[in-house]
Amino acid sequence: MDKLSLWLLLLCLITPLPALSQDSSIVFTATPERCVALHKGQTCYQDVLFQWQTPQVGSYCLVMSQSLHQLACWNGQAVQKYQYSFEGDSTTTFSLIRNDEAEPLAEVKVVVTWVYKAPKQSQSGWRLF
Amino acid sequence: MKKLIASLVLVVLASIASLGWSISEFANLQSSDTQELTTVEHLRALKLIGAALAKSLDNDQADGSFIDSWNLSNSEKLSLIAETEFILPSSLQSQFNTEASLLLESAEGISLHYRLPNTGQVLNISTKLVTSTDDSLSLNKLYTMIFYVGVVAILFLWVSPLIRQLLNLSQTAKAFGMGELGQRIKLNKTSYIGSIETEFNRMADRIQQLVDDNKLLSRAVSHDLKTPIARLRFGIEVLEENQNEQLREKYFQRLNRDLDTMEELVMTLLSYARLDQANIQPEIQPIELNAWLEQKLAKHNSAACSVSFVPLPQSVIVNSDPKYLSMQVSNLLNNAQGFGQSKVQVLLVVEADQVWIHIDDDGPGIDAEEAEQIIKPFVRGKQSRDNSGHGMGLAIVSRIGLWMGSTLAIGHAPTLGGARMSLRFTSFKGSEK
Repeated sequence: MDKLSLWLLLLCLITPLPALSQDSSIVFTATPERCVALHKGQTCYQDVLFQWQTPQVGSYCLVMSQSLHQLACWNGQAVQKYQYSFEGDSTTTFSLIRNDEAEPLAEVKVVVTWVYKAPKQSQSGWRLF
Repeated sequence: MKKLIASLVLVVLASIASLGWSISEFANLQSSDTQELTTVEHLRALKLIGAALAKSLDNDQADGSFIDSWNLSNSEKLSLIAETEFILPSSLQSQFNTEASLLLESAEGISLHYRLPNTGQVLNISTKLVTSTDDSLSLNKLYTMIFYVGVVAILFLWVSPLIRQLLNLSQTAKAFGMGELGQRIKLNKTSYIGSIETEFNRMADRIQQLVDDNKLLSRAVSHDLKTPIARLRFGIEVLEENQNEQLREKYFQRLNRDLDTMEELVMTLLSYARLDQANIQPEIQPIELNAWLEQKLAKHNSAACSVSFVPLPQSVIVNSDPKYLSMQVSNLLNNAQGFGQSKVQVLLVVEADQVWIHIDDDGPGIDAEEAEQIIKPFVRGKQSRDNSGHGMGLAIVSRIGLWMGSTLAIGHAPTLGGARMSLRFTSFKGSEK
């Protein structure tokens, strides 16, 4: 009796999850998500590994969002990861799109960061003395 | 000059201090209106919290629930990632390993990163803060601009009258140099270069006087010498033609007289020229006027014209050079005796703060308009057409008076009805007898 109710409870908890993941949240990650430059405006170089899980049907592409430059295109689950040599001086968004759809399935950002430098001048107000 | 330098230093210091202080106060007032923390202050606070959080999260017991609940209620988001996923350029990596903390900035905001050495993780605190390129910097620039412009404006205000005065001085000096000897600078009490202007005017006065004297002398010499020279020439011609011994003797005497006249004129001119202040070092000494005048007048009594003296009941002491004072008094007495009919009266009078020596005569007197003219050299009064002399007497008295402090005044004698020549002393010592 105890065991059965526990199983039922587990089933209730688990059943909505696959449905959710199939609908909208396709797992799409970039590792690392951050590219670190030494100072602002410097071009940042970083090998980024994209990983994803797509439904079997359809043809997909991995594109850069702003330029719509296609990095890779494939059918079904033929490709699930992609190694990319990132190179840029600003944060770039990558998206996973199904060929016949305008809306991307998932997006991931590679954030370009640089070492923070505190402004030299004190901004606490104007003082002569 | 001291006044000028002192006021310059004072103006510079005062303008810097007052402008600096007032702009500082104004800036303070403006910045205190916005109570928000600046990015720098915010980051400083976060660094303190971050270091503490990193310490407390750096153990195996720490679970994700704290981070989740933190993230729910704070705008600064915490996250933990494995150290291997936190990839940095090699130079930064070594710095991060030693310092265990790093501040990164991106378009999204500034993030703080702490190394957790025990668990091999990195704590990220991402914020929405961005480096403020806000208006405070440009506002500061504006304040600085206002400060400098203000200092320049105040200095310009201070210096513009000086520039005007200098230009004026330069123009006047130029005009004076071009021969307009009447050019003078209008003196103003507030002038920065008052002493220079006064000195310029004094110099101009002296130069004008010298030039005028020069003109007068040359005119007088040419005029007064021409007559005796012409007479000499005529006399010599007559002598050449005449063989009569008695007449020749008479003409020689006349020639001698003409030569005497010329010599006298030259002597007078020389003595007047010597009365230039620059060449004289007067021996000033105290003179008791009652006794001094008594003694002086004794020499001047003549049969034709009696001189009477009205002394003061108390003794009066003035500071003067007896030689030049005597020259003045003698000249005036000679004049009085020359123009007076029978009487000359000398009075010593004390007024509020001055002593007068009045020399009155019972002659025809002098008009007010004439009085101004006759103190000039070589100018003779209307009444002296048939008198001898070159018109230098009063000029000498007047000139001595200018630099000895015993100035000449010409008026009307109330009792005798003639002219009154007065010498005025402004500083004296008096005592009751």
